[in-house]
Amino acid sequence: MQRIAVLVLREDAPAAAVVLAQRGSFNPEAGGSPELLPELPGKRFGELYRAARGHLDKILVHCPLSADAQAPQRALPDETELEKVEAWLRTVWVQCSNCQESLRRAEEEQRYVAQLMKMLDRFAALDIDFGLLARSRRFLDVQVGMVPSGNAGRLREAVALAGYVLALLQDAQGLAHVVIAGPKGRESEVGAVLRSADWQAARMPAEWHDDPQEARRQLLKHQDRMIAEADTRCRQVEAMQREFHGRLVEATRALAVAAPYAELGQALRGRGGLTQIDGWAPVSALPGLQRALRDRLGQRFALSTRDPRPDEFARVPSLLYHHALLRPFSLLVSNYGVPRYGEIDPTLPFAATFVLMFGMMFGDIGNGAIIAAAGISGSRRLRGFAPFVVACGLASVGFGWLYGSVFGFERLVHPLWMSPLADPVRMLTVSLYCGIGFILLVGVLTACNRIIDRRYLDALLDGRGAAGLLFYVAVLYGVYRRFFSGGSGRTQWVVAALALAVVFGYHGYRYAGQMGERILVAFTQVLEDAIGYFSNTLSFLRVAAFGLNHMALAVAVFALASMMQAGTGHWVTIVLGNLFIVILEGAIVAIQALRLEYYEGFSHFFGGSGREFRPLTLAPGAAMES
Amino acid sequence: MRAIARYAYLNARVSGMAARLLSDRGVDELIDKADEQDGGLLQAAGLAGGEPEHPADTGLSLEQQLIASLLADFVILVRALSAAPRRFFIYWACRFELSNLKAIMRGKMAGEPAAQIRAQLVDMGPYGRLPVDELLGTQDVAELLRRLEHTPFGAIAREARRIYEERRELFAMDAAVDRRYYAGLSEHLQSLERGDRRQLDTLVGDIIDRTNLLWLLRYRFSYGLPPAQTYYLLIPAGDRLRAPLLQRLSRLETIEEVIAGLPQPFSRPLSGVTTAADATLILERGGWRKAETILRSRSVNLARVLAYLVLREKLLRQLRAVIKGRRLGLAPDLIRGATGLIAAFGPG
Repeated sequence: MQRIAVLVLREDAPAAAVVLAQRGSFNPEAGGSPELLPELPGKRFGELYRAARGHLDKILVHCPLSADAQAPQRALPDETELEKVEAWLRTVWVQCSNCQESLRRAEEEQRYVAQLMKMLDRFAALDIDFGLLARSRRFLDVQVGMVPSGNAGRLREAVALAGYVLALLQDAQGLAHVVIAGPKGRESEVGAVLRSADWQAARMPAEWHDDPQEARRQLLKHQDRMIAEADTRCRQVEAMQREFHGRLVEATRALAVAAPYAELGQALRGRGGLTQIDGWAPVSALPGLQRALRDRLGQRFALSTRDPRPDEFARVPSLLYHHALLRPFSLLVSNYGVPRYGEIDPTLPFAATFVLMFGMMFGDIGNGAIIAAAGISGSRRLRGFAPFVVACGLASVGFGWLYGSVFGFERLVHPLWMSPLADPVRMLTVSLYCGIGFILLVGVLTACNRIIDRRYLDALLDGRGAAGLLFYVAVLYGVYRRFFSGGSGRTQWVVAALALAVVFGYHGYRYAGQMGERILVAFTQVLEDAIGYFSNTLSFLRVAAFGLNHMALAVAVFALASMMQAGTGHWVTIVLGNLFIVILEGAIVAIQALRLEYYEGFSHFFGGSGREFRPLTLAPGAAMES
Repeated sequence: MRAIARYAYLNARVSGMAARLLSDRGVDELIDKADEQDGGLLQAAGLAGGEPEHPADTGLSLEQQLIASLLADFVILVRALSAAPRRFFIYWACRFELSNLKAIMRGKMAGEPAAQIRAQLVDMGPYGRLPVDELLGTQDVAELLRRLEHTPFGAIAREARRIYEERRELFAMDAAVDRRYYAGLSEHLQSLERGDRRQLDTLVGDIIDRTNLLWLLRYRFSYGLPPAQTYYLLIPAGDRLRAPLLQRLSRLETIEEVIAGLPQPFSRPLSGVTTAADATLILERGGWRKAETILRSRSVNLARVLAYLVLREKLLRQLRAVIKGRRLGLAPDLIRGATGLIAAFGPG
């Protein structure tokens, strides 16, 4: 990756931005010195663009355009034209927003009417004359309405301070229907509380009071009116879509061409007639960039490049190329994080170990073939993930041969190794060795990444660095000698203790705090590191456990099938059982493998705090007239 | 014994962090360090560069740097908690996000430009749930509230809409947001196990009591609200100031009567106070003293975590006042007044 600066004349800057975007290999980033280049020539343009883009995106939710709306070429809009586009889009959005607001009100009104109907039902059931409650009285103030259920209790206490009482009529769907009554003369005081309590008065015209049936009819009419009003609003939006379609297409094209220049932001600085565009580009893209700029601007530009400085490493974007087969795995890696510049890209080891673990946990020729076939036949639906599914299926087939299992039948194929159920202890031992191998690989990667980051002390002395790794290896060797080779000796234990002491000292040295706090933190972290190594290793027992589980499930399916009559029932059970195994156990095994990768692997060696290379691009199909 | 086993690590971390908290006298001395730059002041207050994993980030504004340092401590403490206590403390941290929400609503109602509103916001990092960019990009308050309805703050949006459409009173909206927050804090507290609530309910209750008392004085005697509305707007929780007492206090006609009707520990410190503004600092200081007592106690419980966070927030406020006061060239005594130090040591 190279840090590049393109120096151009002020009037050429928009064209240069479009050229850089067309190449698709330039990641803009602020870099010019504010003292030397105090002006931000594209600031106003950028603000207008962002405002216009914001309006357009919101409008397009209501008035979607066809995909080819951006295709034809057009000239780059200048600031004045962009201002006009922004103003027009703002007007259109205000209209759209008003429509939305009307729709929202109509919906709210519908809900309100529905609640009133419920209240009427309640009154009808109680045989209460609503007119009596709503009629104005000389000494008594009575009000009927609704409040959110959570407010009713507090409201009862509050209105009591004004001499009112509150009666709850009904509590449904989060709304409490209530009647409050109190002496006349304190309506304003109570009104203030009601407003605070989100009170909605039941608006009942006087003529409805004596006849609940009439009230119901009127409410239904009112509801119909609301629905009709909402329909009218929807039609207005549709009409607007037809009316504005042409201009919206034109605005979309203008903004597509304006985007590269507007998105430069702080990466574009200038002074007088000169401007500088700063950013990053991969070394391999530099000749192409130079050529494209020369074709467009002739000799009116200067391109300077340099290697990133060590203090910039954290900010250098990472550009990762992966083969199409590895792309689904790289997506799973980026789901965790993006490798920092220079950091080892874990995609390849991730892909290899993931597929192996999946195969070991789900080894079956038949089930694996189904998964692989599903990956091939559903490649369109799975999009880029088809190679991932196929790889898992093939790994399953491979381990199926080793285990000698076809849809759970263990006598159709002779195992190249052994059936997991034949010797579970051996299976567990192998998975433990796999775990040790995985953790050692992770340890080496961790140390390498820290050396790349120039964190030499971390690489050597940290619990997850060389010292921690030495402790782990020494303890493993000690355990091996003690229990498996029958040997003895103290050297390995001394080495382990020394390594742990180094880690303890380093944690204490690194932590800024009082002595007591330092000791506590260092002790806790050393404990965590030490326990972590062995708990992580034991975690890999699940690989064997799932391999055994797979076989045990197959045995269970056969046991169920044997209870059926020989013939259709028997085979239906076996087919359904295998489908169950493929779908449910397959998903569980994939999740477990991913968990092992993320938790036991990535969390130790992979920072994932990098920044993805985000090139300046033109919208698909958009192009600028020369 | 069980609490000691559960919270030994947490307790040690709180003790370690508490040792770095600056006392009032330390803040007082900072005011007189005339040559010190802002970064130096933060360093002196132990708020920058202390933790190797959270170095001082010079790209942040002062406000953001202060909040970021508090959130960094918060993250360390929360990591050591189990599910329910963690939920309680994460809810406590919502207060910063709610202040963002209030700033956005206020700014939009006043028609401020998005950049101006953004400058007032605190970056909540991974704890942020507000779609700030989306809200700032709205054309008017109606659109803002419409968008807010589809966020975890939907209930607040609905209440705010009603207030906006009927009255457009900013204070009413702020009050509604704050009341919801404290009521939620009390509910989260109740969801904790009994052992975890030990002393925590006293501290939370005390905080709510002081907030309620302050609001009561403001609503009744500064804004002139009627007793019923005043009572309704108070938080339906608390420790010593329970509902019947608050109802009685809401009915009283003067500040003196209210203060006379208060139980200890509120009545004595407030004696002689004649305005709600005077009561504010006294009540705040009382709350901080309570938190200090809990933090200094030898008991091992979750209340010490909250006490530390409360005192850390207090220190941040004091430092903000010191730095802003110095930037504006205010006299040291004025800065002391703003940080509440004059009340602590007396003028001069």
